[in-house]
Amino acid sequence: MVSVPLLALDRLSVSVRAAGGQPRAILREACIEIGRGEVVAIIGPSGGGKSTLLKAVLGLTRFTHGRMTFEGDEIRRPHDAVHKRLRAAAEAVFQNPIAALNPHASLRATIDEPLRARGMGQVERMRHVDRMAARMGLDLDLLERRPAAVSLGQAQRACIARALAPRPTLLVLDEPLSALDALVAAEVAALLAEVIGETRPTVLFVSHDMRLVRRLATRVVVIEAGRIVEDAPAHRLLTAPESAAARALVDCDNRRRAALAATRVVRHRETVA
Amino acid sequence: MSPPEGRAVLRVADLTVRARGRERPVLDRVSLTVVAGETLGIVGESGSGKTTLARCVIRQEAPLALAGGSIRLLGTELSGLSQRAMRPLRGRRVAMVEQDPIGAFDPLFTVYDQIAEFVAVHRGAVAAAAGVSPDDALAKTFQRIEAFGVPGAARAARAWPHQWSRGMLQRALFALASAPAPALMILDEPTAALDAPVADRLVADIRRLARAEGVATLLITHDLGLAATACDRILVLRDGQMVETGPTGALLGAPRTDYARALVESAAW
Repeated sequence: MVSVPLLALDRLSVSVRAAGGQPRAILREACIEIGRGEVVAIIGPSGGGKSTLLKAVLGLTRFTHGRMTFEGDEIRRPHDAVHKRLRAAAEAVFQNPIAALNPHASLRATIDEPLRARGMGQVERMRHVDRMAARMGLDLDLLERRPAAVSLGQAQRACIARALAPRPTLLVLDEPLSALDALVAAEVAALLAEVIGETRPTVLFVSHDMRLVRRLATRVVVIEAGRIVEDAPAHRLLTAPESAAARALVDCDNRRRAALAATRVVRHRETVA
Repeated sequence: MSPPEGRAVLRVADLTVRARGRERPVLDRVSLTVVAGETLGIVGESGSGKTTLARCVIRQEAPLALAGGSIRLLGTELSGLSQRAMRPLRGRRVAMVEQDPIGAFDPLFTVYDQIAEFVAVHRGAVAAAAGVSPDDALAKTFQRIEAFGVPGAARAARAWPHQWSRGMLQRALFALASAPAPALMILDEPTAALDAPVADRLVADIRRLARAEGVATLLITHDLGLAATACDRILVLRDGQMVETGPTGALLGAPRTDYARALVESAAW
C-alpha cells in the first residue's frame, strides 16, 4: 500500500491584489508532499513567500490556484470540513509571542485552551499543563501570570508548551526564535529540539536561522521569489546545496561558525574586572 | 585596559548615564577607545545599553542624562557641548547608520531628492573628501554609491524608497554617510533587517571601505556571529556594565567571564 502523505500541496499559488493594483503572485505553483514524522524547514530570502506558504496551510490566507490535501482529502476552501480537521490536528508557534498570546489570559489558561477545546477533562488538563510547563522550564508560579508580566523567552516557552500539549499531528513554526535574545534563543532551540524528539509531530517550520535548521530539520525546502528552487534531505542540502539561495545561506552559516570556532586557540586577552 | 595602537578617534572614559527616577544607571562607568581604521563591536542583549552608548556619542541621549565620565572625539570633549555646538560635528565628524533603512528615508520624497539634500548640507566636506569641486559633489556621491554595490544608483534614485530593497537602501546610506569622510562611523544593528548572506556581504564591504579610508567604526550588534566576522575588537555589555573587552579572536576563543562564555556558546550551536 502506498502511504498517503499527511499534507500535500499541488501547484499551490497565492496572489494578492493591492488596492487598485494588479494581482501579484506571492507563491507560485508550490508542490510539496509531507509525510508523517518529517521535520521540514522552509528557508530562502526575505519576501520570497515562506510565511505565505505557512499561512496558506493554516488557512490564514486563501490560496488562489492549486490543490491542498490533508491525509489524502482535498481542502477545497478555508474552513471546509477537511480544513477543520487539519486545524484540529495542527498547532502553530509564531515569531512574536507577545502578539500571539491573549493579553488577558494567564499562561495557564493559554496552555490549557487547546486541551479544553479537544474535550480533555479538568483534572487531566491540570496535570498535563503542569507537566508541559515544567518540561519547558516554566515555574508553576509563572503560570498564573499574564503575558505582560513575563519575559519574551518565557512567553515563547508558553507558546511552545501550548502548541505541544495536545500532541498535535502537525506543528507549524514561523520564525520561533527571531524575537529572542541569543542566550534565550539557544535555550528555546534546545528545548524545542528535545520536545519534538519526544512527541514526534510532523513539523513544518520557517526560519532564517540556519542553526535551527541544522538542529531540527530532516528535510529543507528553499523558496525564492515565490518558487520552490530546491527540496532535499537536510544533510544533503546543508553539505551540498544546489540552488544559489541555499548556497548563500549555507556558506554564510559556515563562515560564521568558522569565525566563532577558529578563534578558540588564541590566548591573549584583556578583561575588565 | 591597554589602549590599541594607532590614532585614537574616540575615547570614552567612565561614561555613566542615568534615567530620571531610576536608581540604577543605564550605563555604568563604560570606557572604550576606537582607533582609525578599526572596527570595535559593542555586543550585548536587549537592554544592555548598546544603543544608549551610541546615542551618547552623537549626544542624542535625551531624555537620558550624562551623569559622569568623558566622551572625546578627535580630542574634543563632547560631554559638555550644547546641541548647537554638536550640530556641525554630526554627519561631518561622526555619522550614524541605524537598523531600519526604510525608516531612514522619507517615503514622500524620491531617493534622489534625499541624497541631493544630504549632499547640499555637507557639500564642502563631501567635495573635499572626494577631491572635487563643490559643483561635482553630487555626481561624485552617486559614483561612490555605485562603487559600493548599487549599480545604476543615479538612475534608480528617481524611484521612491519603497521601490528599493532594504539591502540596497542600506548600502546607499552607508556610502552616503561616509561620503563627508567622518572620522567615526556608528553602525547600530545595521543589518538586523537584512538576510544573513546580504548582511555579511554588506558588513565585509563596510569594513573594507572603513579600513581603506581610515574610518573608525563602532558596530553595535546583538549578533555575536556577525561581530565574529566583522570586528577587530569586541566589548561585551550587560545591564549597562562592561563585562569583558578584547581582540575578537581572544575574546571569542577564551572568554574570561561566565557571561561572555555563555554568549559565545549561545552563538555557536
